[in-house]
Amino acid sequence: MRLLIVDDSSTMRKIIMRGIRQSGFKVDEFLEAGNGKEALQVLSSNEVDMILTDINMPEMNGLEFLEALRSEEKTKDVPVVMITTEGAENVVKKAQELGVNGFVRKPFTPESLNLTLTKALR
Amino acid sequence: MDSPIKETAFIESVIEATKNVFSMMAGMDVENRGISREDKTKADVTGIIGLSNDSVKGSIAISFPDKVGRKAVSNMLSLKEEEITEEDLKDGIGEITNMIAGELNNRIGNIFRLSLPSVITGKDHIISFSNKGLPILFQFKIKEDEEFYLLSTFEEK
Repeated sequence: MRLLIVDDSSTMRKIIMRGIRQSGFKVDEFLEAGNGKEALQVLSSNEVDMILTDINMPEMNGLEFLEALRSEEKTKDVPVVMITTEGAENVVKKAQELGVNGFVRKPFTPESLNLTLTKALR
Repeated sequence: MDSPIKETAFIESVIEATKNVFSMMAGMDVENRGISREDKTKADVTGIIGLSNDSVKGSIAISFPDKVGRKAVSNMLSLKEEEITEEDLKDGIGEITNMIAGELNNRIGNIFRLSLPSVITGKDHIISFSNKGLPILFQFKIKEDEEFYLLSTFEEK
């Protein structure tokens, strides 16, 4: 399992990785990017099994990133989970229309991470 | 607070959001020691975030002594306090601020847009907001000598 974490905070990326390790969800390799644009660059030379992305990020936000993923043959079926403080209905609806596979709301527990990631893989 | 949300519901939501974020992200039990109408707070590291909608704008500042801020961030990262860099501290306090404001907003019905958080560091700096809203200063305790403060003010646009 290769998992790409996209968040503009390097500290939050570390916190998410710690949470996933604590949750027991098995990941062999973490890849990281600071926004959607950087993540697309990472994906141009790497294949991943799942993507966790923040929504509010500079350069390219999570919704724009998701839209770009779903329009590319190579990434259109990769499970994407949004991990965010954002709870606004219009944002959630837009992400669902674009084909998001799950949401993890910050603050989160290792258990909630595991549950959402496992569901998103199905 | 001038908004459709009653002040008592807002206060309760701030307390619960703060407790939740510390408990879920840092494994720390936080106790509210009361609130006051003081309009300033002193600290070593402070996270500030703006909340606004079409009729109300305000800010929340979460102010920590260096030791307490480092402890919270080290717990979130599962690192020792001495391993926490200045970047980790600023980034971590920014995330705590963002999560408390986000959790608060969820609890009161997502009525606000949130700004990106800012973090101020510097020993014994004073945080004070200049808007006309009534301030609420929340005092939180982790242990007897480990306290931090959350200051909020909101005003009509």
